[in-house]
Amino acid sequence: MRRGLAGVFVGMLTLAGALLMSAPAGAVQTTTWGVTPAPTSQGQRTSLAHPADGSTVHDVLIVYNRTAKPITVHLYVLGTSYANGVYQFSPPKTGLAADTTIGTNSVKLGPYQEVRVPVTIHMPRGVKAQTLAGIGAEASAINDGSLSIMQQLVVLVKANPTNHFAPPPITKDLFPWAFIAIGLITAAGALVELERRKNRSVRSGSRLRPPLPAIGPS
Amino acid sequence: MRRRAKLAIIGTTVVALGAIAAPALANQSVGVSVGFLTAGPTGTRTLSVQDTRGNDLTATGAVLDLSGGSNSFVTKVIDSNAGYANTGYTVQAMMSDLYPYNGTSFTSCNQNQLIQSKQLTLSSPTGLLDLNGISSTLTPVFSLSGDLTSILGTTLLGAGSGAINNQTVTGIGQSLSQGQIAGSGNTGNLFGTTLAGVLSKLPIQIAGNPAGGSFTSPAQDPATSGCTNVPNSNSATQVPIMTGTANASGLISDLTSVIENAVSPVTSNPTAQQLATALFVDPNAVLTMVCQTLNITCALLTTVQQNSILSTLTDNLSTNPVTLVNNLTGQSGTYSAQPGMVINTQGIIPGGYRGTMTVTLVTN
Repeated sequence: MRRGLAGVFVGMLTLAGALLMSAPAGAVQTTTWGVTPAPTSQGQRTSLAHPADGSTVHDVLIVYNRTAKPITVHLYVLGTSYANGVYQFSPPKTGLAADTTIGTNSVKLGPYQEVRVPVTIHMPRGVKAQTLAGIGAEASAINDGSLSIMQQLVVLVKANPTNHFAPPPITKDLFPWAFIAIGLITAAGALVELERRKNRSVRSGSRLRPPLPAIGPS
Repeated sequence: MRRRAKLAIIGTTVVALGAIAAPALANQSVGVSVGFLTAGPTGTRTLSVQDTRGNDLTATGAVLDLSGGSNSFVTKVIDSNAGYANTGYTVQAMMSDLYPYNGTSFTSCNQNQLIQSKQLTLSSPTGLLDLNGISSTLTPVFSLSGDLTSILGTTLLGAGSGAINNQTVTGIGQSLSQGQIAGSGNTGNLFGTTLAGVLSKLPIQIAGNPAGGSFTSPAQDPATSGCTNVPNSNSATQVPIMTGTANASGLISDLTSVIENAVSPVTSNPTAQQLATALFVDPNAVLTMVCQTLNITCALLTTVQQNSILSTLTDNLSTNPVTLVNNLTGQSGTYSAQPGMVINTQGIIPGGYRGTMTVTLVTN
């Protein structure tokens, strides 16, 4: 019986592993490493695009090593705009970039390893045009010749206009939860007090009761 | 009774604490998790930077030598395994200042001795753009018309009409090769005037930067230089190398032409039966569309009626060209640009220099 359960467990673990390690799709990559938004139930993606509905989105970026050698990939958020045929990048101090955070800024990858990095985006509300941020990724440059060539891959974060808005995030408004909590704690206190009074009334009742007659051979 | 009351107290307290904790937990991020690639990515877009002989310039030992005042390199974007659908890209570059370098280490951070990034100009002539291995997967949508009144009769239609007017039916997914997209004589590398002639028919329209541009504002100083004159790349000038604009609509004429030539006999007004025989549409999808449009029960159709329906409905591709479902479901191809880099050597102190060029790929 135990062996059977172990077999089921191993099978489930294998399945979970296969799902976790399934190769990324829609990826951008260099000859040695790559990065891609994690696929969703709707399939592969090439950007982290979400409606600008005021919600907080928890997304995932996959960074992977294509080689048998360890590699370190640096990640960072970029203010991003598009003009004159190029993307311009800036510090993530304002706009969507300021509302985007990544789980780590440096990923050390072993041979053929992939790492899932959480991305949290506080989506804006009520934008009329698509707004952008970027998540930049780069590995160290190889230093040879007059120019060291560094490759940078950028996955865009997109806030798309929408007419459907999420309710205000509860994390920013603790008052309803505080009222519920206070009410429940008060109810708990009342139950404690009720129990205490019951105990007291039982004890005082036993003191007033006349002593029982002695039973046994006289 | 006392035990029940205690449980109630504990339960209520736990719920209360949960109510307090819930907002905090709702915003918690999951941690970084690790796995291993069991196979190559199923759909990839790869950036490659090479010298003109095909050596990877990001590999150890590869050199882009600018000692002669100019040089060229090749940037490639390779879509493989049909992993991308209707998605363009931008390849661009930024450049740091170049600092004196003696072959093993940087020797100075003095701003009077360096080569400023703005002394370097990069151009990407359209004539040197090149592509090959283009293919696309896509699903056509047909617009079928025809009068089925005499076929269905009053038994099925009652007093209604059996007219079908431009009702759409989603066809079977197709894969178009480079020859089918760019013409049978264009199966190899496409460049120059040949490329310019077929550009509008391609799933990705590529463009270079023939006018060129200088790196007016420098990127961050090279990491190993130890210099901090330019501590970050926040205001670095981005110079375009190659853009690829998604152009799914350009495939409509290609696909229409493929369909016209594949049905037998060749016609621009094929019947649903011809389209089905050539595997462009599922006949059951056509019959389902008819039954839904005319509000009749498909199970009541005889085999003779079904065949007659398929032979009667036609798509006049000249006036009603196919449309594409979800534009594309996949695209493959290799797109190359060969930018040239020129240094304005005026005022430069002879010697060795080194800088960092960052080539960026953004999928739109």
